[in-house]
Amino acid sequence: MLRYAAIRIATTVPLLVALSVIAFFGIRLLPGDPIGAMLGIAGNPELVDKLRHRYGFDLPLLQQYVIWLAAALRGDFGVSVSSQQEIGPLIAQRFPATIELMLASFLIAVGIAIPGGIVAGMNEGGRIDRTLSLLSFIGLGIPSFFLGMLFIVVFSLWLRVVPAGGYQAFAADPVENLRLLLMPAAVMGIASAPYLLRLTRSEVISIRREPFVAYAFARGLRARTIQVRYILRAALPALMSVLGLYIGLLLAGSITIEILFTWPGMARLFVGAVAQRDYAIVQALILLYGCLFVVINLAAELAQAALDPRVRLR
Amino acid sequence: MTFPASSQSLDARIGVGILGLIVVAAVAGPVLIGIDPNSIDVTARMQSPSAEHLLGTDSLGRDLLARLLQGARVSLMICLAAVTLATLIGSLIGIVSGYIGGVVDLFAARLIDLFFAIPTLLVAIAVVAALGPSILTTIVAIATAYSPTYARVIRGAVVSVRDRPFVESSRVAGASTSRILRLDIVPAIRPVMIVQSTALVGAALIDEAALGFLGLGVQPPTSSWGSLLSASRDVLLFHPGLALIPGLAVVVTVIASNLIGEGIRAAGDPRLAQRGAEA
Amino acid sequence: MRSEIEPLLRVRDLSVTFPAAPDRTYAVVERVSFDVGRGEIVGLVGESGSGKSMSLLSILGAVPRPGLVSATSLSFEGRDLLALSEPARRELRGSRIALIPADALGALDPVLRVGEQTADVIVDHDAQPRRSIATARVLEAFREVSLPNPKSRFRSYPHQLSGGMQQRVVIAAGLLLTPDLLLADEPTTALDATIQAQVLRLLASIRETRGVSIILVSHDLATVAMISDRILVMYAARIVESGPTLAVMSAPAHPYTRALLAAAPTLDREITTTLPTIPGAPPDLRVSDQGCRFRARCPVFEFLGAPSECVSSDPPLRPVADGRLAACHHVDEGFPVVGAGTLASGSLP
Repeated sequence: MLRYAAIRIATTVPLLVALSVIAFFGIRLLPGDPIGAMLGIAGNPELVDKLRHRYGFDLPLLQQYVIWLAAALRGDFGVSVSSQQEIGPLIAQRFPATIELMLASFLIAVGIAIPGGIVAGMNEGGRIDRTLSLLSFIGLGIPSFFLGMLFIVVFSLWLRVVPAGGYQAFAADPVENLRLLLMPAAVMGIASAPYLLRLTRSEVISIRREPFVAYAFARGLRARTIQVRYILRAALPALMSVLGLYIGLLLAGSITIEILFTWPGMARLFVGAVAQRDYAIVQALILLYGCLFVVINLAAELAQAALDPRVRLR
Repeated sequence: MTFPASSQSLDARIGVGILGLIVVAAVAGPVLIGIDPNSIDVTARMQSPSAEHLLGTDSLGRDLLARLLQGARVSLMICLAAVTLATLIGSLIGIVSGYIGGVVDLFAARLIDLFFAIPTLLVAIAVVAALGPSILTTIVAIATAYSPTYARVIRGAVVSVRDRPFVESSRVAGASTSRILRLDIVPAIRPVMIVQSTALVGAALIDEAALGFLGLGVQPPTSSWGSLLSASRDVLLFHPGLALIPGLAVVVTVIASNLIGEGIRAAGDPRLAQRGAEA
Repeated sequence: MRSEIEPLLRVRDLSVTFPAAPDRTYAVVERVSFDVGRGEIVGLVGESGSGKSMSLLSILGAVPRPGLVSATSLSFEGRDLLALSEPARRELRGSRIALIPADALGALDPVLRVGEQTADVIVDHDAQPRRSIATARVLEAFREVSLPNPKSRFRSYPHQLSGGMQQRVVIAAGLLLTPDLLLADEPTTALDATIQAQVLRLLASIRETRGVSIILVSHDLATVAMISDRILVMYAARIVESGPTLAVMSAPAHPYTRALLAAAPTLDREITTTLPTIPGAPPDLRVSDQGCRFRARCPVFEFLGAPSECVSSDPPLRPVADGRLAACHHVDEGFPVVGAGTLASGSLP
């Protein structure tokens, strides 16, 4: 296992390098530079040159990349061109809100989808399965932000039980924090649950068709043993890698949800920066999001290996 | 005893029916109602549905039905263009990577895997960041976001047919690579391509809506379902009924296209189509 | 037949049917009857899809849905299996009647340790299960099937064992609760020739030491003949010939058995350049047919110029010489009983 983990971790390094290249050069593909994009044709040429020099945009692109990456590794992402603030602290300030929302949605989605998927898969073709399959099929067609709008209309406008948005730091007022977290987290959890439910269901179904399940039955094992110790246990490794991809999906889903519920996480920073062409922030956040995905999927893969000897002992 | 194959094809027919209606509405609707979706009337802002404005008006007094129908045109067009582009790029990468193999494949497969792990909306937003929001950008952004997934599936399909006897025999007979790709490989993987492309339609619609909702998609005053949703956000608390309509249009269209997709997938999967026949 | 004493297993008119359309069913096992005596090894031979594995599963009570089992008698140690409740049948499965599966690697759960999943049989058939006792018994069973290094094998995962070892593990698992009847479903197909012989010897020796009865299923007549006392030949859901191994092998009565014998590479025959195979394919069971199901591939049918009885009626299983039964309208017509190869050369009177 240790050897496997070491190899897997080592192979993610080039992946991260590739990511930094995409984050840096992808945004700079177009001719021109951020200063030109910001000031546009209205910019005074002298001022543009001055600013260019100040932000280092007059250097060769490759040199800019190296300087950028070296600084980024120290947590220094430069200064926002639009707000003149240090980007590192700006992100750090918003990071916890995003993570909190994601974790809460994750727990809600897993709480719905994993048991639902297992029950549906174990009763393939039965009434519960058909009901859950229909619900999740409809759910797949509903974007999370639209579900969020429905929730706002129902719970904030009609029932008036929760405000339509807002945020309170956990440290300042834990109860208010959780109250405001509830709706966005529920929306994101419910909206993404169908995806997870369907994957869980199909995994359970494919395991149920495995010959070792038929053999377990033929050996007279109890139904409970077959379901828990054989089917669910065998489905677990694949579920781990599914969860890895799923958390990535949640992170993307958090973007629209944060905007809708005015949740002060990274997404609002990101969308604002894209709209204003604040390249340094966009680059920093793409790198950060990318690293999060890579790390989460690495963790999921290691968890999968820990649960599946065929992967681990290769 | 149920027969999934037949019920699936029924679902698919319902999907075709709904989607057909929506397409007809998008094509003929704007002409039929004859109201300019962009004509501003400040005296008639935020009106509720009436005989004159069947779905009411928005914050600038523009007719919502006209904007919804115009938006349907734009959204469906973006969706079609994005799916076509993703199909072309994805197939090209997948076929080249899968058929040629070697270093090219190693490199392409790694890159595809990297992109595969990153959610499509994020990739799309990054493309918008680089190109600036517009209709064309939305198309390119969605196509870029889904090409890796597409390429991944196609690559797998190509690898699985690459060394089959019929391809081998063409190779032995001295057929050129392009001839083999055209006459052997592409026909063999066509079912996979059809399933993938249909599956993309719903996803592309959702991402167009999400980009628009974030204000990063089609820009006002052009209406698309996405840009209408962006406007909805502001009036949600005042005119919830009207605000939800563009979203509803997206949901219905996505579900209809998913129904078709499921039907096609089921028809192509002998295990789904012929269950119960196994002895 | 040993009619005076109650056999261990008594099967009469066993059928297994599956739905073919909402209003129609078809039989994958049709009116099959046989007995298995105590300590007897019965070979069950037929092509894949002939219904032999499904016969085993119906004895076990493990026919997959939506299959339906019926029989005028399916009794084990005098108990009517079809009358038992599912919990009672589960009790029998794995303890009194045990299955040895064909594909050992597929039958073993890839993410559980070999020893632990083997021990589950004991735990789930014990009122007060104790893992430590189960472990000791599994190790003992591993030794009995001569699995090298039982202790470390106990902790191995299935994919870490060789094919032969995997097969020994599932045999050991079958023996754990000292069953009276072993159902061996192609236990040697996945193995190479030397290991095949070892596993067959192992099964034979288990019968000697434990007095267990075995139904040995195979598509290969020669394999079955090596250790079985009696042979049943199945074709298209029915038994077409049955009798003592020696009699069947030396003088097969049914044209299908003769064809099987000709197709099988036997140990005493030189490997010829072209191995004869039975031309054609078994009939589609979903299509109903009044006549003999083998006639489309039957050389006798062809030689006699498509006799009408073969087309109009399915021949019943009836006694021929040497305590054998065969289902053919033309067994008694004095075809030379020379065995392998004769049909191919067509040496009829």
